[in-house]
Amino acid sequence: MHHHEFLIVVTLVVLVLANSNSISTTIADELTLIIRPEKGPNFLLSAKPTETSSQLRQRISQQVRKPLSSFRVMANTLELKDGDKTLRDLRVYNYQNLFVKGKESLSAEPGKSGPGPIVVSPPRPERFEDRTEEFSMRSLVLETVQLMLRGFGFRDLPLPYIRPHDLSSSATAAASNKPKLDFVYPREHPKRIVASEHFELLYRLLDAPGDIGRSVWELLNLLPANESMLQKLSQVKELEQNWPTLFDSRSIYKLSYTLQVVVELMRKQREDGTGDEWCERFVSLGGVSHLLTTFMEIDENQAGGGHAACYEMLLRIINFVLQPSKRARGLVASTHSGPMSLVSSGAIERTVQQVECLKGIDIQRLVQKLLDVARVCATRDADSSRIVKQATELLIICVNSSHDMLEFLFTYQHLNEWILASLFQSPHKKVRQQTALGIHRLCSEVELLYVQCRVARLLVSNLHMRLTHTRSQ
Amino acid sequence: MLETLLPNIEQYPTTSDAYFWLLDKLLQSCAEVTRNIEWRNKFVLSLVSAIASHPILEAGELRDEDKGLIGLFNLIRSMVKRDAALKELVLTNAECNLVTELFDSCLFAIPVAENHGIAGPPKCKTRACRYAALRLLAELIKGRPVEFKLVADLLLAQFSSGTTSLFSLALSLSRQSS
Repeated sequence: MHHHEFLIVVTLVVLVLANSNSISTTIADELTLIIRPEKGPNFLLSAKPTETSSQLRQRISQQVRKPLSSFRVMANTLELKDGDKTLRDLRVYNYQNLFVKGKESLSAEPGKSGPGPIVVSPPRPERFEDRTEEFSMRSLVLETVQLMLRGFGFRDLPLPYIRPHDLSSSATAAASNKPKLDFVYPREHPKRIVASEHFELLYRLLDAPGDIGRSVWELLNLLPANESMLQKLSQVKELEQNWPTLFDSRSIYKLSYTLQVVVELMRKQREDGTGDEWCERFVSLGGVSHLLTTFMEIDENQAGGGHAACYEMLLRIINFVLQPSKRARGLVASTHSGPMSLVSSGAIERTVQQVECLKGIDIQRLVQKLLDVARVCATRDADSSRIVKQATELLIICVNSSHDMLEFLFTYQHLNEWILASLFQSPHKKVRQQTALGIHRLCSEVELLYVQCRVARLLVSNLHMRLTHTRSQ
Repeated sequence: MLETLLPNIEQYPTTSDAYFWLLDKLLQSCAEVTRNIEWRNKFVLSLVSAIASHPILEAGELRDEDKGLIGLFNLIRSMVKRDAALKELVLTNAECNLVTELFDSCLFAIPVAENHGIAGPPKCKTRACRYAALRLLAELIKGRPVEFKLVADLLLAQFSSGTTSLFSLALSLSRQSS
């Protein structure tokens, strides 16, 4: 880290620590809370810091039209229970996200179906320590942002909430390039200013050792996606030279940030129907090769959710790029009719494109890596089912790309371990289901491919016969 | 390959649901399986013997279901439902009579002094497992008058004092031995 960057962080930390006694006095008189129900639209709720959690829950209950006993309100990992504690006591801050969750979704244990007694786990002292640290880190980050904003002359006033459909067509180009968020902040909003003007510094600090990197990562997650990075990624042009910088497997936070932006971009393009063009440019500039190399460089045995999230996003992007849209596939399929439609279907077209994309990649190593990642992640948590899903999708693409791959897959020494770990040993039902679905899809695709090959062989031999017959005549 | 994992189901009684779902789907969709009659016959007989040799794993009505045993019942049911020849093969199997095995060991066996407690009979104690066993039994006797009569006789014997006297006999024998 450069000297001046370090100085800024240290100064901010010192300022926060110096003001720690007066934190309660610096909290705004009125809080604006972002309420995010499980179903239905998000909404804003104004509350006073002196309001109790019971009162807040009561008001949320009226808004979401649910009885108090049927939902829980979560502020990060903390549940706001009925009680006399005020929002200030609970350290609820301005513009905090409060998640309204059904009680079933919280109490349901993964892999266990049917009603059962609710087991209350005994409190763990080490967890308490973690939480204390979490609160202090969160308040540190928040106060840092607030101090920075006050330095720019912004007050803690509730800002207007603008719905995406309220944006007029005369909105700026930058705003239109931004990924669709639930809340669209105006240009002068502090979050957008920090996300654009101080992004370079924050992005570089993601590499900082210890807690700094993690804190900066949390801070960046509070901000909207950086517009220059979004533009850079959406235009693709300048990316060829920047692959290693943008997708750097050595820095998990940087990689996660870039991948998040790409995932947002993909979502936007899928909605706009402009994904195909972007995918083509991305592939032609070697994006897939670089992402696959990055994927293979990350160690699957590393503990922590960050790596798992990276795997999931990487695989999702690769699969998205390798699979053309349904619309495009439909167009290809509709150009042929009769028996030819069997051979020249979208599946064949897709396979040809995938084979092109995977040129120069050691597919055997990739298959091994995919199986290892799926095996290691299977026993971690229920969220790993998403990794398993993406990994099996890519596995199908790899097997379709070459006939040797199927033989290699069946003779791979750890194949049995993968099946055992994912189908039997995983305690998470979702992971087991996803693995079973993946293997079923793999078998169906392989069988379909062989049927298509047989049809193609028949057609070729038929044509050959006709040709020789015509020549002899 | 999945066939070689069949003995593992005893080790993972609560997590083998996805394995059986996959086996069933593959057997339904794979054309190779329907062509290879010899393998298919051997496989269904191995499933029958797996039921016979399956240990008692369910501990009570409200405890965890033995998903391995449920999977075996559902898989055999799915196979014999699609193929009458397989039903014939299963019902004429000399090594193990599946109908009596289902009726006695899986559904209506009662604990005796020598064999009681959590690991006591029958094999199916939970609602889901008993339901799966009964569905298989119903499928096996569908269109088969001989087996239908056998099950009807067994049921009548169950309703009469036959089972009670068997239980009393076992109890008196254990008293005599002590």
